[in-house]
Amino acid sequence: MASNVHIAGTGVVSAIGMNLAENLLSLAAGRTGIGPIRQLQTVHQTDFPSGEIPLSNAELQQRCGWEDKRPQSRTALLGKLAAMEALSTLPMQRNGSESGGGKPGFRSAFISATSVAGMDLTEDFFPPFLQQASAGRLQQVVNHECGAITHAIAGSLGVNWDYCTTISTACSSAANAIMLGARLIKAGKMDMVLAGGTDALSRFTLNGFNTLMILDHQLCQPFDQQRRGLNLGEGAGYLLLVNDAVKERFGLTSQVRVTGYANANDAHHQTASSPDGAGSFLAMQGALAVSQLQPADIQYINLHGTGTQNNDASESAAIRRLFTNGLPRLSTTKGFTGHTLAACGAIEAAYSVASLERQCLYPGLRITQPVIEEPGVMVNSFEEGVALKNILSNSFGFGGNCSSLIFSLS
Amino acid sequence: MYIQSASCISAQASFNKGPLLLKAFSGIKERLPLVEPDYTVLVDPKLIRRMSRIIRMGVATAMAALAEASLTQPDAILLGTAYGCLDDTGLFLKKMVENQEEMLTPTAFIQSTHNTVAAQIALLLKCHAYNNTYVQRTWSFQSTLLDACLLLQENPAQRILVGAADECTAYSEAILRRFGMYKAFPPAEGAACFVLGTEKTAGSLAQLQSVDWVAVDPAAGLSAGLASSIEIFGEKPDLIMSDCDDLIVSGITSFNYRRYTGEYPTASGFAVWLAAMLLSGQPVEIEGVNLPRGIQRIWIPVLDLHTAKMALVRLTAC
Repeated sequence: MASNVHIAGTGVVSAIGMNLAENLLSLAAGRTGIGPIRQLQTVHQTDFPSGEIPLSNAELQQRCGWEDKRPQSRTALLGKLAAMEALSTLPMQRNGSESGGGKPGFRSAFISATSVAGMDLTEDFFPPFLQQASAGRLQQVVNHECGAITHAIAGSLGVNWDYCTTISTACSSAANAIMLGARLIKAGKMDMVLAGGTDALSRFTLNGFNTLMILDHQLCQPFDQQRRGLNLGEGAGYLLLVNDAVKERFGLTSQVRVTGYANANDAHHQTASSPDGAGSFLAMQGALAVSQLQPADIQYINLHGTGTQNNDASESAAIRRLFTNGLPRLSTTKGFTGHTLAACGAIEAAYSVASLERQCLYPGLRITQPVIEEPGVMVNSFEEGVALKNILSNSFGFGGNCSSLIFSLS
Repeated sequence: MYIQSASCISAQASFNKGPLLLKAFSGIKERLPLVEPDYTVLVDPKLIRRMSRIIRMGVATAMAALAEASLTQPDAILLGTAYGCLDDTGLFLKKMVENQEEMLTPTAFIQSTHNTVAAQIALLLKCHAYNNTYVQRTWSFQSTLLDACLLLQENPAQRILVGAADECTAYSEAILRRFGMYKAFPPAEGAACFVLGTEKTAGSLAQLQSVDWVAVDPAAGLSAGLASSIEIFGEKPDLIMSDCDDLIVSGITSFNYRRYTGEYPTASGFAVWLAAMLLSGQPVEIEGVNLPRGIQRIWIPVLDLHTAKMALVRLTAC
């Protein structure tokens, strides 16, 4: 019999808080983290409001106690902060902990996701390098690759991981990392998996999204009929997934499990979603099948809900096709954090876990004319005392990569 | 699981069928030219023109592997790439710097994301199946193999497309040269794709037993790590293809596959392709290597000093 996949810890860093508790306070208070860009050096600082974390790299490096004093990619710094928080629930000690990899029989994996990786430093390296191929500080490109960021975070956590890998499927990356973590545990290949993702803001992504003309010059209004586009964000999120044996060994009280997951491809266009949301539909349907739940068993969906015309139309079409006998409650938290790309699946997973544990719903922001007009579907304000058993969380990305996760209260 | 088909584009004439003669590339400093097939017979020429080399190589080897396995819709598409779409990334970066973040066009950005190759394969096949991209340095391809193992454990009826691809650009070459990357072998690029399944089909080339991550004591080195793995797994390979030069494992023929691929992070995809050719009895000659007769078992370790582990792929003849 396959083990359950318990969520033993969560860690989040985003524009609305440096840890999970701060994030939840902001969500409950309806306080957005989106505003003018101050840290990222770009000509577009005031053009595009973004969900930027209000700390410099030096401040972040100090906060996460990075022993290596050389400049680190912001992606690694954010990742380390969230990873440390997710791990803190276990009595883990540095090098030789009893829950660390290989110690009494517990196998551990670190599955991280990123799309930006070390690009924040690479883009500083490039101007001198373009002038002269021998110019530019090599230290700035040493962690350009996605996998290098994962190794940097993994190595800084003091755990002897049995397996580390990195997933990069654009905006669905972290959801795929959590899915892989859950599958490794279910297959009996790992006992505990730290899974999630991290992405920092960079000029590369900001300008890239600008060329696609899907950035909102104002605060975004996801799932509103008047929506104009998305605001980018940055952050990191990780879940500590454990099997039954680890939960028992450490007497963990976690109540929420990963029960469903699926990954499907829209196969429609490199950057646009199909009008009927074929990929999103298959991802949600597949996740329900894995969890052996019916659509009526889902009380709430944390939407991908980026705020672009295309995503919100496609996602709502897919939801309407699947939930024919009544829609669950819906909201997107991207109006708080901005779209954190490869990290969003894990940040929103952490919010979903908190919703189940606290039996509350976090709202979407700035909706005046909802895309879904039926009354009582969209969550527009913080609601407490809501009976929640199963939550579905969507993450869709470029390349048609669509993934859905289901979290259930035991 | 079985390797039901295999396709490879590299600096060798690996794409065409027939007897193989692999040249050694030691002593060369310049980037190795890719031996590319006529892509237009595999993919619509209009689409090919818009694709960067990594997308072309990835898509072409995918199409060839699928055709050879008579498979039109794989149940999953998994691609491993360390650097992803470097050409489009470099192009967008250059324009962004030169134009000071103004007046940029989206094409290069759209094609720069790491999942572009796997996405393009899905798009061409109209394939809605599970689709994933692994980006773990020299273990990117091995990560796809682990996912394939899981998928086949979850549903043994599936047939899965896995692949590896990396390209080399003027920028990446200049930067990696400064890091001293090309001291032993010249810059190169390549792609390999495979169809994997639990069934031994008529065309199956080899059996992929497993991919494991095994601790290697950096002080003792890869040879010692492999010697202890022979104990652990209770089997002895006839041939070891590694990414190290000075491997000595008693009584076993070994060589560094990078001598025949040049330097790129997912060259182990080529090594697995070569293993499939050898184990299926294809005539292969490798310059500078006396291959033992009747090879039944091949190991492909990829050492990573950052984590003091090797990813070990073990293959046997069908």
